[in-house]
Amino acid sequence: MSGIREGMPVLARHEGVWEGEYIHVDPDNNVIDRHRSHLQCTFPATGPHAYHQINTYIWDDGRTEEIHFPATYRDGAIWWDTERIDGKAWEIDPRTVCLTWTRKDMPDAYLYEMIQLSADGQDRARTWHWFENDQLFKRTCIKERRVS
Amino acid sequence: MNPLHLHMPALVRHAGVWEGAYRTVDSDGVEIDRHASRIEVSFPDDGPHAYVQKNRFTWPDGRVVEAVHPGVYRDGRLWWDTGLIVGQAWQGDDRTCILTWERTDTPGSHLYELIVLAPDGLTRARTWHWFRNGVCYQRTLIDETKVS
Repeated sequence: MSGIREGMPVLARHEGVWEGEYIHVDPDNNVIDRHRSHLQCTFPATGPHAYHQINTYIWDDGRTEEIHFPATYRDGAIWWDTERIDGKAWEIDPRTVCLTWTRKDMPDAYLYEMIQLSADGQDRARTWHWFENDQLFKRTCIKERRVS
Repeated sequence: MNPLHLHMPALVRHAGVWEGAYRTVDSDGVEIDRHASRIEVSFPDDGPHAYVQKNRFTWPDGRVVEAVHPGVYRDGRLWWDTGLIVGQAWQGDDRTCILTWERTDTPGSHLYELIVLAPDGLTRARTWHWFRNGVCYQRTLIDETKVS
């Protein structure tokens, strides 16, 4: 028992399956990519990872990508150290989770994200801010609705 | 001495004059407004307000909107109650501040903002999430450079 549900009650409310759309825009707000998304947020009761997120991205041309983000719980935050990312998420108020992470394939880059979960737990709004050499070079605007 | 120097040092790093652009997009990514911005952030040592923000927004058609948002410090946070805006700001990590507020002219809605300040203090990236009945219906994407 990791204590994650007690330590991160807002994150625990994200448990479930989310579908939506990712819209990637450059600093002048031109759309540079968009795709549908299917995310599973799970809290395994056993094993080394207190949180496990599986993202599936689906483009209109038929391309798909599936990425696993297992995380550990420690000190009121969840921590990732996967092949793809290194980062953490923490709660900042009863509606909001913040994240920051680096991508191992982009050594001079880092990201910040803010997520708000609706009071009924059915909708969430997320925005990623992508920085390279401390300059914003992209945002990813995400809208999602709970499907289960 | 202004209490924010002691209690909200990450916020005090925003002191100065910022110029940039505000772009508002609907939940499908369609841009519905764009204007230039000049924002003066100060932390007076005297007087009732620990924070004073003066906004000047200009549109290509010549419209200009100016506003002043004075805030007070209490319990680790900055608070606004200006008649138009009721809200608060607090610090995330070393680089980030989070704000949430309601506009008295838009009942039933609330906003959240994430600000990421560059380590050199010369640029900042901000995003507003606009919520109505818990659902994010638009975003405002703001990128600014410190000009003095």
